[in-house]
Order: sequence, then C-alpha cells, then structure tokens
Amino acid sequence: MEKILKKALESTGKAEVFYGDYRTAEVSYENGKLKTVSSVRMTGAGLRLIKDGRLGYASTTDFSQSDRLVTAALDTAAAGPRARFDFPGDPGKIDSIDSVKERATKLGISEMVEMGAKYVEKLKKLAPDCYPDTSITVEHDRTRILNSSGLDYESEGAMYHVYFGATVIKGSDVLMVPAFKIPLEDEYDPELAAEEAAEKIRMAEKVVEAKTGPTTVLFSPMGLDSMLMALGAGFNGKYVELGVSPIKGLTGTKALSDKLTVWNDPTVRYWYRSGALDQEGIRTEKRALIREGVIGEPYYDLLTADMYGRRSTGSGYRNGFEAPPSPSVSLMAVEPGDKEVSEMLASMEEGLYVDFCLGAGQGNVLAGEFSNNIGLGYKVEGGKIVGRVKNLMIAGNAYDALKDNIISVGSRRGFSMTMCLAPHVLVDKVSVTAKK
Amino acid sequence: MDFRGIMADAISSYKGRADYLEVRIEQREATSLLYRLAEADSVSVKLVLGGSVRALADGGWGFAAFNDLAAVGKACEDAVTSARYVGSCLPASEKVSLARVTTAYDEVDLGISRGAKDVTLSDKMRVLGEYAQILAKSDPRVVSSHVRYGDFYVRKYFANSEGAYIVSEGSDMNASFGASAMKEGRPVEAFEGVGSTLDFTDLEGKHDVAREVVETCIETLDAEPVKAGVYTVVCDPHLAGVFIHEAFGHLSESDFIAENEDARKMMTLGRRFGQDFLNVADEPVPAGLRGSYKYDDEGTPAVTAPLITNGLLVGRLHSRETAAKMGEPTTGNARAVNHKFAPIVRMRNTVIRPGKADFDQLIGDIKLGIFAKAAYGGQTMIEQFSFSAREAFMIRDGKLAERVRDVVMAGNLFETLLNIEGIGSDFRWTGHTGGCGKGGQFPLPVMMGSPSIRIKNVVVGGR
Repeated sequence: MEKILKKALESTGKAEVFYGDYRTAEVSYENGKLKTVSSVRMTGAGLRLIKDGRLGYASTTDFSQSDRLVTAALDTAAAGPRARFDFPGDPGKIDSIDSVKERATKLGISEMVEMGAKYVEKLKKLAPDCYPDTSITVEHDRTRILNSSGLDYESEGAMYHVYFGATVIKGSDVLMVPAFKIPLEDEYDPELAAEEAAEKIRMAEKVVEAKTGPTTVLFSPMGLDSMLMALGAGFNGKYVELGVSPIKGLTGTKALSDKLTVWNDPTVRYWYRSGALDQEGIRTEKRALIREGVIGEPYYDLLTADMYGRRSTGSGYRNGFEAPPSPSVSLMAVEPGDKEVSEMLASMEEGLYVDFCLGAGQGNVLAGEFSNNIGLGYKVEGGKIVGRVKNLMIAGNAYDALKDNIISVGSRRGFSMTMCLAPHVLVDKVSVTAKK
Repeated sequence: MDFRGIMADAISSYKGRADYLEVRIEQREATSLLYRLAEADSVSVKLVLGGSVRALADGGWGFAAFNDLAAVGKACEDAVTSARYVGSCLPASEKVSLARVTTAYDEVDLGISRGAKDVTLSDKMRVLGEYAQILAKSDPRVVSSHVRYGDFYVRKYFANSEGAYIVSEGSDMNASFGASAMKEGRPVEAFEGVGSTLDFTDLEGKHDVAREVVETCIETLDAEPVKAGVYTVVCDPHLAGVFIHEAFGHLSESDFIAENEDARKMMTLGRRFGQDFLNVADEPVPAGLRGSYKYDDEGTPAVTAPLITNGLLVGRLHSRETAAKMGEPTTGNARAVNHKFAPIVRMRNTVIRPGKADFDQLIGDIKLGIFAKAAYGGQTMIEQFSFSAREAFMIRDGKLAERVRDVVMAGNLFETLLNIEGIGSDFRWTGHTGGCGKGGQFPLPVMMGSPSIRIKNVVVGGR
C-alpha cells in the first residue's frame, strides 16, 4: 500500500489507497439437503487520486500490477469529475465502536453445518410437506485507508447472517417462505427459526380471496422494502442537490407522520459498517433522517459535498475496493414504536399482512412509487390471520403512505431485504387490486 | 503468466483426493463511467485477476475462491476439504454425480472487432459525453439526467480433472440513458439502453436514442398513473422478453426442480403451459449476443434448449449435476457471473418464437387495454411473479390512446402463460443493458428475443 501511495505521489499531491481483505464462508442447504461449503477470500486495493483538480479511480487485485494501477488512475483522473476537496488527515482521538460480532469470527464450518441441520430437521418435523432451504454466511472484512494527508486508518467488521426459508408445492400451488436474520445483540437460534417458518407455512395453508380497494396493511420489515428503498434514495445528497428527490426543500418541515423516526446510525454495536469514521476517513455521527415526521438533512460523501458546497456527513461507503465511495447510509434504522405485532394484528378489523413483495425497486423508486405483486401475504379478519392471498397487487407512494396513514409502529425490529433495521408498520388505505 | 501450468499443477496435486476438480482463472478489465447532466460524475477502471476451485468428493461439493494466484494450492485444499466434509454428511441417495460431457480442449475466439480494450478512455468519454449533452440540455424541464456506461473484457481459463482445458473470452459494452423531470415535487423518469459485445461502433451515433429519452420523459409529465384493474395487455418485444424470462425461464432452471419431488411432478414434460402457438426456447446463439457462448462455465458444450413447443413443456436447462440427477441431456447452462462464484443453472438468450399477427391485429379488437413498452424489471417466486413497464399507453377501441405511467403487472405461472392469446411477427432481441440476478450473482449478461405478445386478464396495480 505504501508503495502504491508513494508511486502515485510522484505524479500528484493528493492520493488515497483503500485496501480491503474480504473473507466469506458459507454453508448452504437446498431442498433440505446440504449443498455446498464455500470459502472466498478477496484482497485488493483501490487508488483514488486528484490530479489537476479532477478525481480518478482504479482498482486491482493483482499487486504485481501496481504501476499499471497508478497509470489507470491517472487516466481516469484526466476524464473524471472536478474535485476541490482534499483527503482528510488524522482525526485525532476517536471512539471505538464495536463492529465485530465476535461469534462470527469463531463460527467453524462444522458448527455452521450443524446450525443448518438443526433448522432443516426441526422444520421437516413441524411441516413435513416442505423443502427447507437455508444458508449460514460469515463475512469478515479488514480494511485500511492510507492517504496523502496523513490518515492511516484500519477497521474491521464481522457479521454472520442466516437465510432460512422453505418451499411447499401442492399440485400447481407454490408457496415460498423467505426469511433471514442478522444477529446483532442476540444470536441466531435455528430451532426458533424453524418454528417461525413453520408458522408462516401453517398460516398459508388455506388460500383465500381478497378484495380490490383501499385496505389496512400490516407490513413486516421485509414487506416494507419498497418504501425503505424510496427513503434511502430520497435522502441521498446527490439526488437532493440534483433536485429530483421529493425531500428537496423540505428539511425542517413536517412532511411525514409523527410516528415515523428514521436514523442513519453508525453507532449500532456489532453492525459490520459501524465505526467512528466512514470509508473515506470522515467522522460519522448518528443523525435523524426523519424525526417524528420532520425531514432532516440529506447524507453526503466527500465528492458530492464538494460538488455542491456542502460538508460530508461521514457517509462515504464502498462496495469493496472495486468502486469509488458513494453517498450511503451506514445503517438505516427505523425507530421502534410501542406495539407488539400481535396487538397490531388484533387491532385490524379487515386487512392484509404483507411479509414479502415481488419487484421492490423495479419502478420509479426515487418518486416513492411502489406497485408490487404480494409474494407472501395473508388476509386478516377480525384480528386474526385467516389464510394466504395470491394474485394480488398493492400500490401507493411511500411519501403519501407514511404521511397520513401510519396507524401504529411495532416494538421489535428485524432486517429488511435491503438491510435496513425496521419494525412492523401498520398502514391504512393502501390500494389493493385483486384478480376478481 | 502461465495459467495453464498453474492450473495443471494444482489439479494433479489434488485430484487424488476428489472425484472431480475444476480450476477457473479470470483476467478481467472493466471501465465504468457515469455522467450526471453534462458533467462526469464518476470514472473508474478495475483490473481483476482471480480464480476459484470447485471439488466434488464423496458426492459433496466444496468451493473456494481467491485472487492471489500464490493461494491456488490453499484454495484446492479448502475446496477438497469442504467437499469431503459435505460428502461425509450426505446419505447415499443425496450424493451428487455429474453427467458425462465431451472433454473439450479448445480456445474460443469471440470475434471481437472493436472491443472495450480497443477504444481509449477519452474516446469513450467523447462518445458518451455527446449523449450526456443531449440529455442534459435539450429541454429545460429535464432537471436530472445520466449516461451510465460499463464495459468489460475477460479472458477465462478453465481446466478440470477430466482433462478439459478451455480458454475463452467474454466481452460487453453497454450504456443506459436516463432523464428525469419534476411533477408536483416528484420525479418522472425515462430510460433507454444501447449495447454490444463485439463492436463499440454499435454504441456510436445513438444521439436519436438520447433525444427520444428526453421526449419520453417530457411526455410522461402529462401522463397520469394507470388506474388499477384487470386488463388485456399488449407487451412490446422488450417487455415480452422480460415476461418470458420471469414467467417461465427461471422455472426451467432445473436446480429448483431436480431435488424437489413435488416440483418435478408439477413440471412433468408434456404438461400444457400455453396455447398451441406458444413456442419458447433458450439458446446460446447467435454469435455476438450477450448470452451466446460455445462452452458454459463447467466446460459443457452449449446447445439450444427447446422449452415449450406448441404449448407443451418439452425441456429444461441443465448443469451437469441436474442433468445427471434427472437423467436428461446436458444443455450447457451452468454459468458463473465471475470467478468469485460457482457456476449455477442460468438462462442465456431466451426466446418466444414469432407468430403471424401484425401490431394492429394484436390491438385491433381490444376495447379497453394497455400497451406496455420496455421493462424496468421483473422478479419471480416461481408461481407468482411481477414485471414492470417503463412506458405505457391505454388502448381504447382498438387504437393507441393516452400515455399512462407506473404500470406494474402481477403474473401467475399457470394462468398468465395460458392467457397469451396473440403473438406478433415483430421479433427482436432486447436486453443490451442490465442483467439477471440469482443466488447473489448479478448482473449476468442474458438477452431476450420476442415479438409483441397479447395477454388477457392481467392484474395491473395502481391507485
């Protein structure tokens, strides 16, 4: 790394090397059967430099090519965006935030195989007609940023996440039950997961009809994905500055329900992206994107902030070393409310419980528009789940649905597919379209 | 670097401890460019060298990926150890075997005429910068626009313990154009993409495409969101292609059915899935398409796989593992998006064969329907799926009427395919940008070929 930086500094005064060492181990079961054990290790470096006021980026996994890396980065800088910023120097004393889930670093392959086996066996017992699928994945990353301003920052993140699902086919009826867990303060319990999956299968045994029209909908954290994606994009400083975000000009205004508070939170313990500095070396801070319905500040990385005369909010993150940083939240976390899911269900006279939507993100996300076929959803009558619904679409706009129509917010949180931490949310007047 | 020697040494050292061993190495160069409005927003290049080892031992799979070539031995050790461990956990009935294939010893030239490496970065910037100018400057109502370009060139080396050795190339260059304008505080958008695998020249002179994106964006400002309901929908070739990919292609991937008795029963060959005039296939040809190749990433020769013929299920897509499990011929559909992943069963170029109807015949007797154009995307959970259109128009009394927006459709495998009631003659290839995602592997270059199709009783979401 020092060599690459030194070489780059022969051609320009501003440069940064980001080194990443990413290790993944995974055990997967398909159709109830142990399928494969895999391990992946990727190491490489990304070189970012500013030459003649323009920013370039190149990466390599082949350290014997460091001369070519520098040449490539200089080439991209000749064509790259204007950049007036300098890379940040040593931040001085910083708090340490624990981004290493210790159990992830200690999970061995045989233990992961056993976790999967426990889930599969228990689920087969509880729901003999299903084919269980599960994968247990450990990710362990080490990164280091070294730049021409004197920053030398190393960080480490470790997590494990578990997908646990099942497929049930009866004639031409296919039920897929997806679920996953990223343990933070707690640990994954395969038998509890099997009970959860079995319960979802049991609730779906009967297929029932649902009606077209405005409907009260209880969204699980996964079911909220379309709306969470809209908020994630809407607060991106780039889209706000370009003028295409619906939150543009609304900072400080109450534009959403006072039941809704959403954090960009880099301080959550055991989250792999948590840390005192972001992946550009800027101090992070827990910030409210939405506080009781009042719109907060957008998030910026260095380049976006520089382009529009703002300050980085410590939101420059990378997907590995192969691409430059971009504005991104460390963890989007929706503040929990005070209702148990059972209470929320019990409060519903008639409506739907939506656990998973098809096509999240495939539409005009930034505008907040969503229109999804319900992948896994249930009908609720008199406070009870009465069966599964199929061939049914829900639609709306996140900014409208989350403004006037939030009835209540759940007290316990889980991860959505887009890796946001969110509770269940009960929303009124969601448009539902049925086949009949 | 002597990749062949490195791979041969690794295989000969470890093949005694596995029933099957394969080593893949890739050398890849890729460029990404992004213009926002008329300015460069991000320009980056990556140089990737890496590989992976997959081992089958005692009927179990192990996999290890690396990018330090000095670590090939360690990866072999890890893959073999994992495979033996998995194998030891499996009862005899669950052990994996592989279908036999001709052992290939080949070097495949893709026939690139002017590829990603033959065009300088400044030439790429100049060509794309012109489109960025058009998008950003031709209408003041456009508040944001982008040109997103990505290319790669990869040389892939494949060797296995059966003696196969294949060197092949992969190539892709594509650009997508987008424009946004604001309506009541929220953006409306329009998109289009262009691309090529063999010739950057195909991406040149596309100024009209950029202009059309602006026009579509401005026209969409006046469009109302579609009114929810159940409609007869005519899909243009692009959306029809995405529809068949989601509705049926994924279900043809045998890894889902091979191990699931109930799924096998549901997918019995000979079952009716469409009307007599529906014919669907997945093809590794013609040359130059994003899903075309001679060998898949297991070294299996790729052949056309007919899937639906005259409305009846006639075949499916296989890896060596699924072909052996189901006792069916291999098709060469095992693909890996890059060296970090093991090959899994994927589509290539998926087609609906053309029919005879012209467009006016397709819409002529529709009293109230929707003409939906181009695709944002689609997703499937096998029986239930969704697909969304980038653009749409109402059809009223057999004629195209006003533009509408936010058209997303729900499908049901066993109903929607049977509801295809008309197939056009306007076949074309689409899918020059983007790609398919499965099992964390995204974006895999695939294409779709289809004429316009007409589907009845489609649930369209909205307010």
